[in-house]
Amino acid sequence: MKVEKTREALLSNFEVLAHVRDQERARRMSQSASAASNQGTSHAENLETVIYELKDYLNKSPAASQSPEAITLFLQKINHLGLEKAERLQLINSVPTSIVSLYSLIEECDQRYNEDQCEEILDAIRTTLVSEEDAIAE
Amino acid sequence: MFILTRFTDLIRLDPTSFKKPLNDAIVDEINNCYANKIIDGVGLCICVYDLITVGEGQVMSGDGAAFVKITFRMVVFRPFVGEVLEGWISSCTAEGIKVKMEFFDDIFIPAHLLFENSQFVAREQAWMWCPDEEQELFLDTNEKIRFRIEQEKFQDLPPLKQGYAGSAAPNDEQDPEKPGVPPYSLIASCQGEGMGLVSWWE
Repeated sequence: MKVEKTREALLSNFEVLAHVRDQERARRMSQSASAASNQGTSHAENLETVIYELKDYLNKSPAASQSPEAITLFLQKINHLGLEKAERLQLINSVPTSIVSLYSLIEECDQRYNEDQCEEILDAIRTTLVSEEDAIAE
Repeated sequence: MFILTRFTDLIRLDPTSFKKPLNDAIVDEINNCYANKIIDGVGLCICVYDLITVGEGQVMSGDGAAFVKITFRMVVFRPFVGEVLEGWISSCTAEGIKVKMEFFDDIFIPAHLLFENSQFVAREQAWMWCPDEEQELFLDTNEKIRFRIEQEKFQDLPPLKQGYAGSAAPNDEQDPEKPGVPPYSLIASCQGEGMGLVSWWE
């Protein structure tokens, strides 16, 4: 084993969840195909364990109700504010809806952005990343 | 929280997997070897993301298996320093708070990285934060907590000693003295606005 590049890319929680769901669908397909031809395929316990636990975590997170379109729209809306890549990633992963949680995710938020701009970010989050059910729950 | 890591490896495909499509067999084999494992200096491997290159299968003498050289990318759990995450408090001690996420348990918030004016209440077995004179906020077990990653620690461990022929030989003399250093652990902090229990700030 050789590690070629440790941090080739950052993934958002949404991307990981989408990938895991895709993989599972593919696996179920191949499983039913092999069951039909009577060749049971067993899958690794370690993989099943980590995927189960990961899904348990991500399905409770905001990633569960996001879509690629919503994320693209959100990024377009906040593009002109010049947030760092890691900060945008965190906004998508944690979906802050209050100014306090926004401050904790963006470094030196009070110096870099005025109140209107913070409100603009929150507004962009509310209109794109917060799903309708969540909004009603609030 | 998650990254993609590129690896190259030479894997062994057992003849029993020859009936499967080649790429499926390779992905299954990589997942067998890597999923839910921690790699020193990389992080906790989740699953294969994609295969980049697949070499020619080679057969070596005395073995019916095919050996294939591959380049692939894995989804890896490796939060960056400064990232804010959410997890659950699994236990509180006078030293600090242990936090778990469903798939990763080795997160620790030491006492000196907790809020100012917080103290451990032995009677409740919980940490208490007093933001002002009147308020007492408890950090109880199983509450959802938001924290910031401060430091990551990798510990290269020797391979598990397992007996041959599947009999996992228990190392009675070795286990008690080894308190179980985790191969990958995170030190986190819980200070400042927005940190602490998620319910406080809603």
